[in-house]
Amino acid sequence: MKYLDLLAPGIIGIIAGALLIMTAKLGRTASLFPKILSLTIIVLVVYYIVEELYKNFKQPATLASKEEAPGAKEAPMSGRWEIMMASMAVYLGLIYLIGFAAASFFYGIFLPYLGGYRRMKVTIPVALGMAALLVLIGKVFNIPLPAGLLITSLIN
Amino acid sequence: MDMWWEGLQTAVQGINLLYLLGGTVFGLIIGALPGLGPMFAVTLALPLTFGLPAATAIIMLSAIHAATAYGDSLASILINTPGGVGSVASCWDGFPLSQQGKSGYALGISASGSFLGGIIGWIFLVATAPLLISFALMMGPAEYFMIAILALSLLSMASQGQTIKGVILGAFGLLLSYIGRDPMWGVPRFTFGSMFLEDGLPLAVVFIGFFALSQAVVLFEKGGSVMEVRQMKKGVMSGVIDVFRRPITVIRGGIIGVFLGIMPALGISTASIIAYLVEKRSSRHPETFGKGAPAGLLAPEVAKNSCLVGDLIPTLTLGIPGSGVTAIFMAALIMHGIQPGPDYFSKGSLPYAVFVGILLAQFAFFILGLLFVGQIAKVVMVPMPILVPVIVALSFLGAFAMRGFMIDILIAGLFGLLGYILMKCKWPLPCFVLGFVLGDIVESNFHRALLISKGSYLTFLTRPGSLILLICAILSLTWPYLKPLLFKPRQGSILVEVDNLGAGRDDMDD
Repeated sequence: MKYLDLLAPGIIGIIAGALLIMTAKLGRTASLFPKILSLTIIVLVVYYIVEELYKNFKQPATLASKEEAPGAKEAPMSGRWEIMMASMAVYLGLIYLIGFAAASFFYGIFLPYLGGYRRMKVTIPVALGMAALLVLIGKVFNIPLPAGLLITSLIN
Repeated sequence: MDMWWEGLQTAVQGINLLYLLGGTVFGLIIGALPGLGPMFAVTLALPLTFGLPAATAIIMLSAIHAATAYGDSLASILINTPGGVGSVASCWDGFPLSQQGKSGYALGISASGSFLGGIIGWIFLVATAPLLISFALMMGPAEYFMIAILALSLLSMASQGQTIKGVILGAFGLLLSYIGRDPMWGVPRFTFGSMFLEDGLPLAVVFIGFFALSQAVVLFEKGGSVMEVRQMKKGVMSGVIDVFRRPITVIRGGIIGVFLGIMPALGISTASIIAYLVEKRSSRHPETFGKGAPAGLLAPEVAKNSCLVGDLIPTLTLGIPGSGVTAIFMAALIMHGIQPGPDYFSKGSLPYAVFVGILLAQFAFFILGLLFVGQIAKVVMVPMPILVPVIVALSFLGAFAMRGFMIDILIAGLFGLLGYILMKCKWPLPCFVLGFVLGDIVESNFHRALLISKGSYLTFLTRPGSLILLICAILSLTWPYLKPLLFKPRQGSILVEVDNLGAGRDDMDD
């Protein structure tokens, strides 16, 4: 059993618990369904976690070998997901600062680099094309793309 | 008939045809990418259609919906990697045909099989929609509440062996759908005093995070992916012609697809695998299956697309989505002012334009798919590190496009993280989608039923329709536990084979 097996239901259970506490301030009609659902989720999450822990306690060797078996369903966490998540946070920050198109251009260059793809002759034109595509989509679908704090203040 | 004529005129307007073609190309490209299916494509495109007229938006989404399902087969046939869960069965005889140098022939079968499947599904949709809607008009809030509960319970059942996970996610989806004002009295709930949350969590933003961003993380982790694509232009037309010589296979596959599409929770992977197995059993040469039998490719292709359109029957007529992708499709309809269910035909010619759009989408992917099959198939050669930033950028754009708030990108990112964790633990994500979409239907109909019955909960038990639906819901929830006690499966039966092949487990990803 991996920590992720408990993390997912844990997160759901905590959110349900927090929302259950918040239902105390609501009226009867407005709180009925949230209360029922929060309680159901908490009960099921606790049941699921206890069941998983019990299974692991009863047959630790069997479970471990099952996880390591070739073709086992659960794929291992490679560590690249942290890079990916961090890159998305940086991308969001860049959008806020330098605008959508410019941030997308830089993101289109640096993420492939972080992913081990180093052919700049490919990534730079693709990143440029992607930024242009986003601007085009913005125009076609009437989406006012954020210009960025720095760019806006420079223009003003 | 006048409405049909008006609907046709709306659908064939120049701008609508342009978006139809754009949606088809987008769908074909996304579909050809291994692992990305209709759910991903429709989710990504949904917020972009926000500023478009209703008919244009739905026509574009229909085109994406249909084209992605066909595009999925390209990767199955060419590189033996299912483009989506619905294309698993297409690998079994599609890839052997490719290995024999008949990839063009296989793609021809796939294109025309998918097209005919879509047409069969469409005929059933148009023929049964008015009948089902008149049936829906007889139902009250109690029945609607129970039908939504039944849909939720069936979806948990479809995630075989994961009933608890399915129920937790379905309930979690319902719970999060209650963020915002309550449907009866407009009381703000769980908004933390923020105006951004008063209208609730934006549906498209949540789905983009859950399906597009989490998928981008998975693809980035996987890396690599430069595939060798074999010669494919030769023989496409002979494949197309061969399909028309096998009408029984087409009709059989089509009926299986529509039937399983109408059934909530049974999606395109079940339909295509059952169609494959039925075809194999009906064949005079079952030994050729798995070695490049044309019928072994044709049957699942027909069933897949007829199921995809058949899935829209309960969505449009009862307002109850049968799968994750139709839940998003239903959300798109609501977003553009078309209320699925008994009021579906009350919007003048617009619903008919939707029907015509769904039909045109079948023609569009068939024609474009045949014309540009060589170019589209090259998509499978794009390296993942190049592809992932494009997916993330489009997802961010989609999240932002809905309301123009930067916070929506952050919300999408958070749901992306949650979706990724759940995906890694093999939780059935679409149960969450169904819960999230059905949240309002469940709550508002429950309270309406109580108002009508003056607060008596017995209304759910005394109305025959409601009681039957309640019994069905209880049975569907307990079925995985009752089944082994009641029945001993016969070795060699189709249902056992389907179970062994794993159909249904990922059906809701369709």
